[in-house]
Amino acid sequence: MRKEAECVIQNELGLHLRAAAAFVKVADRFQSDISMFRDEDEANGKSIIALVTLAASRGTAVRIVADGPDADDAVAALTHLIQVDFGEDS
Amino acid sequence: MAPDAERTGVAASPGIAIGPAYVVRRERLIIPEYRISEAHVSSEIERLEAAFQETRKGLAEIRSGMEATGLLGNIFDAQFLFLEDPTLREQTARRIREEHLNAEWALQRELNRLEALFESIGDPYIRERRTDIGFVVRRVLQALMGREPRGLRGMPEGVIVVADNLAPADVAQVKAGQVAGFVTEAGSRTSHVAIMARSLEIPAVVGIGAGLVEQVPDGAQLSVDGRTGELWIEPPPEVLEEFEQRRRQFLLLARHLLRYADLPAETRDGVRVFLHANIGVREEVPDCLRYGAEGIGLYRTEFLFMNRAALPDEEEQFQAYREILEAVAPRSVVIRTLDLGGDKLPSHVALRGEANPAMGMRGIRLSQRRCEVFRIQLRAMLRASAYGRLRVLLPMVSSLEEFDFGRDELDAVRQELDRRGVLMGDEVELGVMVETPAAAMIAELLARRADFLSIGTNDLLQYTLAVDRGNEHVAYLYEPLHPGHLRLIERICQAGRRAGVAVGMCGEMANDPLHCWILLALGIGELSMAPSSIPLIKKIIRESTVEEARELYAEVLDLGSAEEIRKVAANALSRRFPVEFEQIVPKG
Repeated sequence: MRKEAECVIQNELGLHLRAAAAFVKVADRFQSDISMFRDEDEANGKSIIALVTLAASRGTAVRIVADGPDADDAVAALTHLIQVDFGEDS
Repeated sequence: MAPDAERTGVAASPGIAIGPAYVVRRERLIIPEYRISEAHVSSEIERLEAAFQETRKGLAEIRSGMEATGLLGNIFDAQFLFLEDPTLREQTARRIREEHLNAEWALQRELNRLEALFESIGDPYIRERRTDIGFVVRRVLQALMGREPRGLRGMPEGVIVVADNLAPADVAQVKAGQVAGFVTEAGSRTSHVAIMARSLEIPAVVGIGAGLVEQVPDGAQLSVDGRTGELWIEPPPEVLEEFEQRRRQFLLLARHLLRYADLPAETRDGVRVFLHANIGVREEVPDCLRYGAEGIGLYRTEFLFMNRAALPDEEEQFQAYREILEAVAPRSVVIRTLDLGGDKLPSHVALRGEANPAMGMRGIRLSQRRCEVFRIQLRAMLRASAYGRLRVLLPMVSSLEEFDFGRDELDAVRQELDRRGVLMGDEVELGVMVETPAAAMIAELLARRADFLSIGTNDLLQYTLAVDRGNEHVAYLYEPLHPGHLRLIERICQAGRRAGVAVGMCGEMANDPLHCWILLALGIGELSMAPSSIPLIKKIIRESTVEEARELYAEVLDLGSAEEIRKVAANALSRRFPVEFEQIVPKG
């Protein structure tokens, strides 16, 4: 099963080391393969290095794609994480 | 005067080291490159996985060993993060599978790709993580090639380690007494190796610049002065002799002076001065206590914010502040709110492209502009205040409005925490860092509202004399004893006295024993300095009278130039403290 959603990075600092670490922490809970796309660039959603090198700053539109048995839940959890700015304070 | 050193760098950890060089040559790791056959792909990938496994185990051991001795285990976090990351492993495995490269070659290629990728990212805080990836990959490569990471474990005693840069894992394996000194091409006073060298009391000079590792042959005789940043390679006999003498004197004096650490800094005529320490990271706290600091006079919070991708959240700040407050209690801790210019903050917080950041959006100005960042910091501080004696210091204040803003924010945060029933200390003071000429001129107004004043001489001097000391063309003008600067300080001291609030000094001016009597005469009640400077200043204060200090001040007050003032002060002090002034103050 494949599921995807668009969202916009809105936290102050963009997809930095910490935000990427938070993302991977959530992504690791799911069996599905998870990717984040920025335009044509694809990053493994379970790799901090890959996510950080997308260099998605505030205001960047990204696409979350999950492929696997729990794709629905994964996309829901990850878009939520982006919406709450990765749980950052500022 | 010492003859010119061959190379000089940043004086990172005090002390004199003389001994043979132990050169850590990274380029010795020659990566074997060969193609493997299809049949060997899976065993090659297994070999790669095993090397990652071994590296993880090795790093974890080093980390827990360090934590057991109370040293900064958290500096390994980024390295673990990368070690666990699937991209590094999977992309390397893919190269083995598809390009049929051997594991070492594949990994090296992947490292090159990642380094280039990180290099291309505009954000300097992400770019810097390259070093962490490099450290990690090097260890995996060593594991692959069946080499014990050379690290610093098996080296002979008494050597001076020479390297381009040292990873925390390298330094962590050093035992006190094993290494005579560290010399590195890269680094600053706050890099890992500098901090660790200071806590191990090993002399270190860092930031010497490129080419050092090439220049120094293994076993070459080196002389290093960690107070001046000098390095000699195969020094001539007269230099060697001088360094031997410096070392003897240093050790003798260090031992002698430590006896003063736990005595109060009280003059012979009964005036009590409080000697505090300046710190940037919590790992420096044990030093402060050992050298007899009676509190922390300046905790610069910038290091919490620097060299990282994202701002530290309230919880992380709270933990950091709490640790320091607890460790130092019942002594007080002055925590300065964030004082960064646009050049040092994660790019999204500060403004970009300021032509003159020293006079730009920094200190309290940035806090006003980015109030939410300021509030998080105040919240973390107030929560931590339950665990010790907190004094909050506002940097770069140049008007009453800016101070009032700080006071209002602090009150608002306190009320908010109160409503939530959060425990806080009830005597949190709020002070002004007097470091702009404007603040010095309105010191008597500020003193009516603030709980204390702290003179930040580094900036006050640069703004007063209009001298950027980082600018080599005008650095010679940067002179704390300039009569104009002294008059401003006097004014601040008077303002504090009239309003009945404490006046302290936390700039580098307080470090220098040459200034000791003048500061004593001005009546500055708290001097805050590098921890290792405390014993000497304490000794001088204990063996002086305020009366003789005032006599000196009266004598220099009408002198027209810093040079004359310096000469008269040096004369007076070296008459009274001949040994200390000859040996301890390396520059004239």
